[in-house]
Amino acid sequence: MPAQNQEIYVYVVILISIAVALLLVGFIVTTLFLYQRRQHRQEQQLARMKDEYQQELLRSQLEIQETTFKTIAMELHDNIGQVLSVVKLSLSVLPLDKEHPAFESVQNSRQMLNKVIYDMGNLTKSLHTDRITQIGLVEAMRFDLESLRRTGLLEVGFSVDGTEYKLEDQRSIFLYRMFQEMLNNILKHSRATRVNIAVNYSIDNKFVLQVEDNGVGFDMEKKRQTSSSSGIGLKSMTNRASLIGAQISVQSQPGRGTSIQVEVPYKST
Amino acid sequence: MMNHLSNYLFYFIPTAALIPFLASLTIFYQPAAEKYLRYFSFYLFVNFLFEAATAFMAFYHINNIFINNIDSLLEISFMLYLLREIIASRKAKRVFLYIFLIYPVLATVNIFLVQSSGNFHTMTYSLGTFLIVSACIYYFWELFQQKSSVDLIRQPPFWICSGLLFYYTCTYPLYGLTDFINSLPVVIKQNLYSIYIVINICLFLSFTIAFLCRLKTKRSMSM
Repeated sequence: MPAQNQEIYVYVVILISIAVALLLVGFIVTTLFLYQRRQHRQEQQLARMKDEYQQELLRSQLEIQETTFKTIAMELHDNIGQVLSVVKLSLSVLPLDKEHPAFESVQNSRQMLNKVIYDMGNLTKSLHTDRITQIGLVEAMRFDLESLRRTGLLEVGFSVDGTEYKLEDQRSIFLYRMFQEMLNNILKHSRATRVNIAVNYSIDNKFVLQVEDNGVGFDMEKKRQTSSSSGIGLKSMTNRASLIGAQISVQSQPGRGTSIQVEVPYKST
Repeated sequence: MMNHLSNYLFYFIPTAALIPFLASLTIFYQPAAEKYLRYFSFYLFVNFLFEAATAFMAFYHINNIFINNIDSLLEISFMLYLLREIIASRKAKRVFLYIFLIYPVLATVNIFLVQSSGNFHTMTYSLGTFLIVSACIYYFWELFQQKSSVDLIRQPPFWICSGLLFYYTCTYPLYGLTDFINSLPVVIKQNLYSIYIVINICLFLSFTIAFLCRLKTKRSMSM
Protein backbone atom coordinates (compact mmCIF):
# COMPACT_ATOMS: atom_id res chain seq x y z
CA MET A 1 0.00 0.00 0.00
CA PRO A 2 1.49 3.43 -0.96
CA ALA A 3 2.41 5.75 1.94
CA GLN A 4 -0.20 8.41 1.00
CA ASN A 5 -3.03 5.86 0.92
CA GLN A 6 -1.93 4.53 4.28
CA GLU A 7 -2.03 8.05 5.78
CA ILE A 8 -5.53 8.61 4.45
CA TYR A 9 -6.54 5.18 5.76
CA VAL A 10 -5.25 6.06 9.25
CA TYR A 11 -6.95 9.45 9.08
CA VAL A 12 -10.29 7.84 8.20
CA VAL A 13 -9.89 5.22 10.91
CA ILE A 14 -9.24 7.94 13.52
CA LEU A 15 -12.27 9.92 12.37
CA ILE A 16 -14.51 6.85 12.42
CA SER A 17 -13.21 5.90 15.86
CA ILE A 18 -14.01 9.37 17.19
CA ALA A 19 -17.48 9.25 15.62
CA VAL A 20 -18.19 5.80 17.08
CA ALA A 21 -16.94 6.90 20.52
CA LEU A 22 -19.09 10.01 20.31
CA LEU A 23 -22.17 7.96 19.39
CA LEU A 24 -21.50 5.48 22.18
CA VAL A 25 -21.09 8.15 24.84
CA GLY A 26 -24.11 10.03 23.51
CA PHE A 27 -26.15 6.84 23.69
CA ILE A 28 -25.07 6.06 27.28
CA VAL A 29 -25.67 9.59 28.56
CA THR A 30 -29.00 9.98 26.75
CA THR A 31 -30.24 6.58 27.97
CA LEU A 32 -29.29 7.42 31.54
CA PHE A 33 -30.88 10.82 31.30
CA LEU A 34 -34.15 9.46 29.88
CA TYR A 35 -34.21 6.64 32.44
CA GLN A 36 -33.75 9.06 35.34
CA ARG A 37 -36.42 11.37 33.97
CA ARG A 38 -38.88 8.52 33.65
CA GLN A 39 -38.05 7.36 37.16
CA HIS A 40 -38.52 10.91 38.47
CA ARG A 41 -41.90 11.16 36.72
CA GLN A 42 -43.00 7.82 38.19
CA GLU A 43 -41.98 8.94 41.69
CA GLN A 44 -43.93 12.16 41.27
CA GLN A 45 -46.96 10.21 40.06
CA LEU A 46 -46.71 7.84 43.02
CA ALA A 47 -46.46 10.75 45.47
CA ARG A 48 -49.48 12.41 43.85
CA MET A 49 -51.48 9.19 44.05
CA LYS A 50 -50.56 8.79 47.73
CA ASP A 51 -51.59 12.36 48.39
CA GLU A 52 -54.88 11.86 46.55
CA TYR A 53 -55.51 8.67 48.48
CA GLN A 54 -54.87 10.44 51.79
CA GLN A 55 -57.19 13.27 50.82
CA GLU A 56 -59.89 10.84 49.74
CA LEU A 57 -59.52 8.90 52.99
CA LEU A 58 -59.78 12.09 55.01
CA ARG A 59 -62.78 13.26 53.01
CA SER A 60 -64.52 9.93 53.58
CA GLN A 61 -63.80 10.11 57.31
CA LEU A 62 -65.22 13.60 57.53
CA GLU A 63 -68.25 12.67 55.44
CA ILE A 64 -68.91 9.73 57.76
CA GLN A 65 -68.53 12.07 60.73
CA GLU A 66 -71.03 14.52 59.20
CA THR A 67 -73.48 11.70 58.48
CA THR A 68 -73.12 10.51 62.08
CA PHE A 69 -73.77 14.03 63.37
CA LYS A 70 -76.83 14.25 61.17
CA THR A 71 -78.15 10.90 62.37
CA ILE A 72 -77.57 11.85 66.02
CA ALA A 73 -79.34 15.19 65.43
CA MET A 74 -82.32 13.42 63.83
CA GLU A 75 -82.47 10.84 66.62
CA LEU A 76 -82.34 13.56 69.28
CA HIS A 77 -85.05 15.57 67.55
CA ASP A 78 -87.40 12.78 66.50
CA ASN A 79 -87.10 10.33 69.40
CA ILE A 80 -85.74 11.88 72.57
CA GLY A 81 -87.22 15.29 71.74
CA GLN A 82 -90.65 13.72 71.18
CA VAL A 83 -90.45 11.77 74.44
CA LEU A 84 -89.39 14.86 76.37
CA SER A 85 -92.27 16.83 74.83
CA VAL A 86 -94.71 14.12 75.88
CA VAL A 87 -93.27 14.15 79.42
CA LYS A 88 -93.53 17.96 79.49
CA LEU A 89 -97.15 17.75 78.33
CA SER A 90 -97.94 15.07 80.91
CA LEU A 91 -96.45 17.18 83.67
CA SER A 92 -98.39 20.24 82.58
CA VAL A 93 -101.75 18.43 82.71
CA LEU A 94 -101.19 16.96 86.17
CA PRO A 95 -104.14 18.03 88.41
CA LEU A 96 -102.03 19.58 91.18
CA ASP A 97 -102.90 22.76 93.03
CA LYS A 98 -100.41 24.98 94.84
CA GLU A 99 -101.06 23.40 98.23
CA HIS A 100 -100.15 19.92 96.98
CA PRO A 101 -96.84 18.68 98.58
CA ALA A 102 -95.51 17.61 95.13
CA PHE A 103 -96.35 20.89 93.39
CA GLU A 104 -92.95 22.57 93.85
CA SER A 105 -90.89 19.56 92.82
CA VAL A 106 -93.09 19.11 89.72
CA GLN A 107 -92.59 22.80 88.87
CA ASN A 108 -88.81 22.38 89.24
CA SER A 109 -88.90 19.30 87.04
CA ARG A 110 -90.86 21.21 84.39
CA GLN A 111 -88.29 24.03 84.43
CA MET A 112 -85.42 21.59 84.15
CA LEU A 113 -87.26 19.79 81.37
CA ASN A 114 -87.70 23.09 79.51
CA LYS A 115 -83.97 23.76 79.78
CA VAL A 116 -83.11 20.24 78.57
CA ILE A 117 -85.47 20.63 75.60
CA TYR A 118 -84.01 24.05 74.79
CA ASP A 119 -80.37 22.86 75.06
CA MET A 120 -81.13 19.77 73.06
CA GLY A 121 -82.73 21.92 70.38
CA ASN A 122 -79.54 23.98 70.18
CA LEU A 123 -77.39 20.85 70.04
CA THR A 124 -79.55 19.41 67.29
CA LYS A 125 -79.23 22.61 65.29
CA SER A 126 -75.47 22.77 65.58
CA LEU A 127 -75.11 19.10 64.67
CA HIS A 128 -77.43 19.18 61.67
CA THR A 129 -75.45 19.63 58.47
CA ASP A 130 -78.37 20.65 56.26
CA ARG A 131 -79.28 23.51 58.55
CA ILE A 132 -75.82 25.08 58.16
CA THR A 133 -76.15 25.16 54.39
CA GLN A 134 -79.77 26.36 54.61
CA ILE A 135 -79.32 29.34 56.93
CA GLY A 136 -75.78 30.21 55.84
CA LEU A 137 -72.44 30.21 57.58
CA VAL A 138 -72.74 33.61 59.25
CA GLU A 139 -76.15 32.85 60.73
CA ALA A 140 -75.00 29.44 62.02
CA MET A 141 -71.98 31.07 63.65
CA ARG A 142 -74.08 33.89 65.09
CA PHE A 143 -76.44 31.31 66.60
CA ASP A 144 -73.58 29.49 68.34
CA LEU A 145 -72.05 32.74 69.57
CA GLU A 146 -75.41 33.86 70.94
CA SER A 147 -75.66 30.63 72.94
CA LEU A 148 -72.11 31.19 74.19
CA ARG A 149 -72.88 34.78 75.17
CA ARG A 150 -75.94 33.65 77.13
CA THR A 151 -73.80 31.34 79.25
CA GLY A 152 -71.90 34.41 80.51
CA LEU A 153 -68.59 32.57 80.31
CA LEU A 154 -67.07 34.97 77.79
CA GLU A 155 -67.53 38.38 76.23
CA VAL A 156 -68.18 37.75 72.57
CA GLY A 157 -67.46 40.12 69.70
CA PHE A 158 -68.67 39.26 66.20
CA SER A 159 -68.21 41.34 63.07
CA VAL A 160 -69.00 40.68 59.43
CA ASP A 161 -67.26 42.75 56.79
CA GLY A 162 -68.73 42.89 53.29
CA THR A 163 -71.81 41.24 51.86
CA GLU A 164 -72.22 37.57 52.56
CA TYR A 165 -72.04 35.29 49.55
CA LYS A 166 -72.75 31.61 49.43
CA LEU A 167 -69.77 29.30 49.64
CA GLU A 168 -70.03 25.72 48.40
CA ASP A 169 -71.94 23.48 50.83
CA GLN A 170 -68.94 21.36 51.77
CA ARG A 171 -66.79 24.43 52.32
CA SER A 172 -69.45 26.02 54.54
CA ILE A 173 -69.79 22.85 56.61
CA PHE A 174 -66.03 22.42 57.01
CA LEU A 175 -65.58 26.09 57.92
CA TYR A 176 -68.35 25.82 60.45
CA ARG A 177 -66.78 22.70 61.99
CA MET A 178 -63.43 24.47 62.16
CA PHE A 179 -65.10 27.41 63.84
CA GLN A 180 -66.72 25.05 66.36
CA GLU A 181 -63.34 23.42 67.03
CA MET A 182 -61.80 26.85 67.64
CA LEU A 183 -64.55 27.79 70.13
CA ASN A 184 -64.23 24.42 71.79
CA ASN A 185 -60.46 24.90 72.21
CA ILE A 186 -61.01 28.39 73.65
CA LEU A 187 -63.51 27.08 76.19
CA LYS A 188 -61.41 24.08 77.12
CA HIS A 189 -57.88 25.49 77.23
CA SER A 190 -57.58 29.25 76.85
CA ARG A 191 -59.08 30.61 80.09
CA ALA A 192 -59.99 33.66 77.99
CA THR A 193 -62.43 36.37 79.06
CA ARG A 194 -63.02 37.71 75.60
CA VAL A 195 -63.27 36.26 72.12
CA ASN A 196 -63.48 38.20 68.86
CA ILE A 197 -64.70 36.65 65.66
CA ALA A 198 -64.32 38.51 62.37
CA VAL A 199 -65.64 37.30 59.05
CA ASN A 200 -64.50 39.13 55.95
CA TYR A 201 -66.26 38.88 52.61
CA SER A 202 -64.90 42.15 51.26
CA ILE A 203 -61.47 40.92 50.08
CA ASP A 204 -61.36 39.99 46.39
CA ASN A 205 -61.43 36.26 45.69
CA LYS A 206 -60.90 35.37 49.32
CA PHE A 207 -63.03 34.56 52.34
CA VAL A 208 -61.34 35.21 55.70
CA LEU A 209 -62.36 33.99 59.13
CA GLN A 210 -60.42 35.23 62.15
CA VAL A 211 -60.87 34.06 65.72
CA GLU A 212 -58.93 35.84 68.48
CA ASP A 213 -58.97 35.37 72.23
CA ASN A 214 -57.20 37.01 75.16
CA GLY A 215 -56.45 33.73 76.92
CA VAL A 216 -53.26 32.14 78.19
CA GLY A 217 -51.97 31.28 74.72
CA PHE A 218 -49.42 28.54 74.13
CA ASP A 219 -45.89 27.87 72.92
CA MET A 220 -46.34 26.86 69.30
CA GLU A 221 -43.02 25.03 69.06
CA LYS A 222 -43.84 22.88 72.10
CA LYS A 223 -47.33 22.23 70.79
CA ARG A 224 -45.89 20.88 67.54
CA GLN A 225 -43.70 18.43 69.42
CA THR A 226 -46.32 17.12 71.82
CA SER A 227 -49.55 15.41 70.84
CA SER A 228 -52.10 16.65 73.34
CA SER A 229 -55.83 16.72 72.67
CA SER A 230 -55.74 20.38 71.61
CA GLY A 231 -52.94 19.42 69.23
CA ILE A 232 -55.30 16.89 67.69
CA GLY A 233 -57.90 19.63 67.41
CA LEU A 234 -55.43 21.82 65.53
CA LYS A 235 -54.47 18.88 63.31
CA SER A 236 -58.13 18.22 62.56
CA MET A 237 -58.59 21.88 61.60
CA THR A 238 -55.52 21.75 59.36
CA ASN A 239 -56.83 18.58 57.68
CA ARG A 240 -60.20 20.16 57.05
CA ALA A 241 -58.52 23.31 55.74
CA SER A 242 -56.39 21.33 53.29
CA LEU A 243 -59.47 19.55 51.97
CA ILE A 244 -61.20 22.80 51.03
CA GLY A 245 -58.01 24.44 49.79
CA ALA A 246 -57.90 26.85 52.73
CA GLN A 247 -54.84 28.25 54.44
CA ILE A 248 -54.80 28.26 58.19
CA SER A 249 -52.37 30.34 60.25
CA VAL A 250 -52.11 30.15 64.03
CA GLN A 251 -50.35 32.81 66.08
CA SER A 252 -49.92 32.41 69.79
CA GLN A 253 -47.55 33.25 72.60
CA PRO A 254 -47.80 32.21 76.25
CA GLY A 255 -49.83 34.87 78.12
CA ARG A 256 -50.70 36.79 74.96
CA GLY A 257 -53.74 34.97 73.63
CA THR A 258 -54.24 33.17 70.36
CA SER A 259 -55.25 34.27 66.89
CA ILE A 260 -56.31 31.84 64.19
CA GLN A 261 -56.95 32.95 60.65
CA VAL A 262 -58.49 30.84 57.91
CA GLU A 263 -58.31 32.03 54.32
CA VAL A 264 -60.38 30.33 51.65
CA PRO A 265 -59.86 31.22 48.00
CA TYR A 266 -63.17 32.00 46.33
CA LYS A 267 -63.95 32.17 42.63
CA SER A 268 -66.87 34.45 41.95
CA THR A 269 -69.08 33.19 39.13
CA MET B 1 -3.78 30.90 5.30
CA MET B 2 -4.19 27.52 7.00
CA ASN B 3 -0.85 27.88 8.73
CA HIS B 4 -1.83 31.35 9.89
CA LEU B 5 -5.13 30.00 11.29
CA SER B 6 -3.38 27.14 13.07
CA ASN B 7 -1.27 29.67 14.96
CA TYR B 8 -4.43 31.05 16.49
CA LEU B 9 -5.81 27.58 17.21
CA PHE B 10 -3.16 27.20 19.92
CA TYR B 11 -4.87 29.88 21.98
CA PHE B 12 -8.22 28.13 22.00
CA ILE B 13 -7.41 25.48 24.56
CA PRO B 14 -5.81 27.75 27.23
CA THR B 15 -8.72 30.16 26.83
CA ALA B 16 -11.22 27.30 27.12
CA ALA B 17 -9.31 25.98 30.17
CA LEU B 18 -9.56 29.34 31.90
CA ILE B 19 -13.40 29.42 31.75
CA PRO B 20 -14.07 26.37 34.00
CA PHE B 21 -11.46 27.67 36.44
CA LEU B 22 -13.31 30.99 36.70
CA ALA B 23 -16.64 29.13 37.05
CA SER B 24 -15.10 26.92 39.74
CA LEU B 25 -14.45 29.96 41.95
CA THR B 26 -18.21 30.05 42.64
CA ILE B 27 -17.77 26.84 44.64
CA PHE B 28 -16.09 28.83 47.41
CA TYR B 29 -19.36 30.74 47.88
CA GLN B 30 -21.37 27.53 48.24
CA PRO B 31 -20.98 26.41 51.86
CA ALA B 32 -22.41 22.91 51.30
CA ALA B 33 -20.16 22.13 48.33
CA GLU B 34 -18.16 18.90 48.44
CA LYS B 35 -14.43 19.08 49.23
CA TYR B 36 -13.36 17.41 46.01
CA LEU B 37 -14.96 20.23 44.02
CA ARG B 38 -12.76 22.73 45.88
CA TYR B 39 -9.67 20.66 45.05
CA PHE B 40 -10.93 20.46 41.48
CA SER B 41 -10.88 24.23 41.34
CA PHE B 42 -7.17 24.25 42.29
CA TYR B 43 -6.50 21.54 39.73
CA LEU B 44 -8.21 23.58 37.02
CA PHE B 45 -5.89 26.48 37.75
CA VAL B 46 -2.82 24.22 37.47
CA ASN B 47 -4.29 22.73 34.31
CA PHE B 48 -4.74 26.20 32.85
CA LEU B 49 -1.05 26.95 33.54
CA PHE B 50 -0.02 23.71 31.83
CA GLU B 51 -2.25 24.38 28.83
CA ALA B 52 -0.90 27.90 28.51
CA ALA B 53 2.67 26.64 28.74
CA THR B 54 2.15 23.88 26.12
CA ALA B 55 0.36 26.32 23.80
CA PHE B 56 3.18 28.83 24.20
CA MET B 57 5.80 26.19 23.44
CA ALA B 58 3.86 24.88 20.45
CA PHE B 59 3.50 28.43 19.12
CA TYR B 60 7.27 28.89 19.22
CA HIS B 61 7.87 25.37 17.86
CA ILE B 62 9.53 24.16 21.09
CA ASN B 63 9.13 20.45 21.79
CA ASN B 64 6.45 20.15 24.49
CA ILE B 65 6.21 16.36 24.72
CA PHE B 66 7.79 16.28 28.17
CA ILE B 67 5.46 18.91 29.63
CA ASN B 68 2.55 17.11 27.94
CA ASN B 69 3.62 13.89 29.61
CA ILE B 70 3.70 15.55 33.02
CA ASP B 71 0.38 17.30 32.35
CA SER B 72 -1.38 14.09 31.31
CA LEU B 73 0.11 12.18 34.26
CA LEU B 74 -1.17 14.82 36.66
CA GLU B 75 -4.51 14.99 34.84
CA ILE B 76 -5.20 11.25 34.89
CA SER B 77 -4.08 10.93 38.52
CA PHE B 78 -6.33 13.76 39.62
CA MET B 79 -9.27 12.46 37.59
CA LEU B 80 -8.85 9.06 39.23
CA TYR B 81 -9.00 10.78 42.63
CA LEU B 82 -12.05 12.79 41.55
CA LEU B 83 -13.90 9.72 40.28
CA ARG B 84 -13.02 7.86 43.46
CA GLU B 85 -14.74 10.63 45.40
CA ILE B 86 -17.76 10.63 43.10
CA ILE B 87 -18.37 6.88 43.19
CA ALA B 88 -20.57 5.80 46.10
CA SER B 89 -19.69 2.10 46.52
CA ARG B 90 -17.10 1.52 49.28
CA LYS B 91 -15.58 -1.49 47.52
CA ALA B 92 -15.10 0.46 44.31
CA LYS B 93 -13.65 3.36 46.31
CA ARG B 94 -11.05 1.04 47.81
CA VAL B 95 -10.14 -0.35 44.38
CA PHE B 96 -9.79 3.16 42.96
CA LEU B 97 -7.65 4.20 45.92
CA TYR B 98 -5.12 1.51 45.03
CA ILE B 99 -5.31 2.49 41.37
CA PHE B 100 -4.85 6.15 42.32
CA LEU B 101 -1.71 5.23 44.28
CA ILE B 102 -0.24 2.81 41.74
CA TYR B 103 -0.97 4.66 38.51
CA PRO B 104 1.39 7.68 39.04
CA VAL B 105 4.24 5.30 39.86
CA LEU B 106 3.61 3.23 36.74
CA ALA B 107 3.27 6.30 34.53
CA THR B 108 6.45 7.89 35.93
CA VAL B 109 8.41 4.70 35.33
CA ASN B 110 6.99 4.54 31.80
CA ILE B 111 7.76 8.20 31.04
CA PHE B 112 11.32 8.17 32.30
CA LEU B 113 12.46 4.60 31.80
CA VAL B 114 10.33 2.71 29.26
CA GLN B 115 9.01 5.03 26.56
CA SER B 116 11.54 7.77 27.48
CA SER B 117 10.62 11.41 27.99
CA GLY B 118 11.14 12.22 24.29
CA ASN B 119 7.96 10.30 23.36
CA PHE B 120 4.40 10.58 24.53
CA HIS B 121 3.66 7.89 27.15
CA THR B 122 1.00 6.19 25.01
CA MET B 123 0.97 2.94 27.00
CA THR B 124 0.24 4.41 30.41
CA TYR B 125 -1.99 7.04 28.83
CA SER B 126 -4.08 4.25 27.27
CA LEU B 127 -4.21 2.51 30.63
CA GLY B 128 -5.28 5.76 32.36
CA THR B 129 -7.94 6.37 29.72
CA PHE B 130 -9.26 2.87 30.21
CA LEU B 131 -9.41 3.34 33.99
CA ILE B 132 -11.17 6.71 33.76
CA VAL B 133 -13.70 5.44 31.22
CA SER B 134 -14.33 2.40 33.46
CA ALA B 135 -14.86 4.66 36.49
CA CYS B 136 -17.27 6.88 34.54
CA ILE B 137 -19.25 3.87 33.33
CA TYR B 138 -19.31 2.54 36.88
CA TYR B 139 -20.71 5.88 38.09
CA PHE B 140 -23.45 5.72 35.44
CA TRP B 141 -24.18 2.13 36.43
CA GLU B 142 -24.57 3.28 40.05
CA LEU B 143 -27.03 5.90 38.85
CA PHE B 144 -29.01 3.21 37.05
CA GLN B 145 -29.04 1.13 40.23
CA GLN B 146 -30.32 3.97 42.43
CA LYS B 147 -33.85 3.42 43.70
CA SER B 148 -34.76 7.08 43.90
CA SER B 149 -34.34 9.48 41.03
CA VAL B 150 -32.05 12.50 41.10
CA ASP B 151 -32.18 15.71 39.16
CA LEU B 152 -29.18 15.01 36.91
CA ILE B 153 -29.09 18.52 35.51
CA ARG B 154 -28.21 19.85 38.96
CA GLN B 155 -25.62 17.16 39.73
CA PRO B 156 -21.97 18.23 39.25
CA PRO B 157 -20.74 14.58 39.19
CA PHE B 158 -23.03 13.84 36.24
CA TRP B 159 -21.57 16.71 34.19
CA ILE B 160 -18.02 15.85 35.20
CA CYS B 161 -18.41 12.17 34.30
CA SER B 162 -20.22 12.90 31.04
CA GLY B 163 -17.45 15.31 30.03
CA LEU B 164 -14.70 12.87 31.01
CA LEU B 165 -16.34 9.92 29.29
CA PHE B 166 -16.83 11.96 26.13
CA TYR B 167 -13.30 13.40 26.21
CA TYR B 168 -11.40 10.21 26.94
CA THR B 169 -13.30 7.99 24.53
CA CYS B 170 -13.04 10.54 21.71
CA THR B 171 -9.42 11.52 22.26
CA TYR B 172 -8.22 7.98 22.81
CA PRO B 173 -7.67 7.37 19.08
CA LEU B 174 -5.76 10.68 18.91
CA TYR B 175 -3.55 10.27 21.98
CA GLY B 176 -3.09 6.55 21.59
CA LEU B 177 -1.66 7.14 18.12
CA THR B 178 0.24 10.36 18.93
CA ASP B 179 3.62 9.01 17.97
CA PHE B 180 2.18 7.75 14.69
CA ILE B 181 0.22 10.95 14.01
CA ASN B 182 3.44 12.96 14.35
CA SER B 183 4.63 11.34 11.14
CA LEU B 184 1.49 12.39 9.19
CA PRO B 185 1.39 15.38 6.80
CA VAL B 186 0.80 18.82 8.38
CA VAL B 187 -2.66 19.26 6.82
CA ILE B 188 -3.96 16.06 8.39
CA LYS B 189 -2.38 16.96 11.73
CA GLN B 190 -4.08 20.35 11.63
CA ASN B 191 -7.44 18.75 10.90
CA LEU B 192 -7.00 16.32 13.76
CA TYR B 193 -5.89 19.16 16.02
CA SER B 194 -9.07 21.08 15.18
CA ILE B 195 -11.12 18.04 16.22
CA TYR B 196 -9.03 17.81 19.38
CA ILE B 197 -9.80 21.48 20.17
CA VAL B 198 -13.55 20.91 19.76
CA ILE B 199 -13.42 17.90 22.10
CA ASN B 200 -11.44 19.93 24.65
CA ILE B 201 -13.92 22.79 24.49
CA CYS B 202 -16.74 20.30 25.14
CA LEU B 203 -14.86 18.93 28.16
CA PHE B 204 -14.25 22.38 29.62
CA LEU B 205 -17.87 23.30 28.92
CA SER B 206 -19.07 20.28 30.89
CA PHE B 207 -16.76 21.25 33.78
CA THR B 208 -18.12 24.81 33.68
CA ILE B 209 -21.69 23.51 33.81
CA ALA B 210 -20.71 21.21 36.70
CA PHE B 211 -19.73 24.23 38.77
CA LEU B 212 -22.65 26.40 37.76
CA CYS B 213 -25.48 23.86 37.75
CA ARG B 214 -26.19 24.21 41.46
CA LEU B 215 -26.31 27.98 41.53
CA LYS B 216 -29.75 29.35 42.23
CA THR B 217 -30.90 32.16 39.98
CA LYS B 218 -33.25 34.78 41.32
CA ARG B 219 -36.17 35.54 39.08
CA SER B 220 -37.97 38.83 39.40
CA MET B 221 -41.36 39.62 37.97
CA SER B 222 -42.62 43.09 37.36
CA MET B 223 -46.19 44.04 36.53
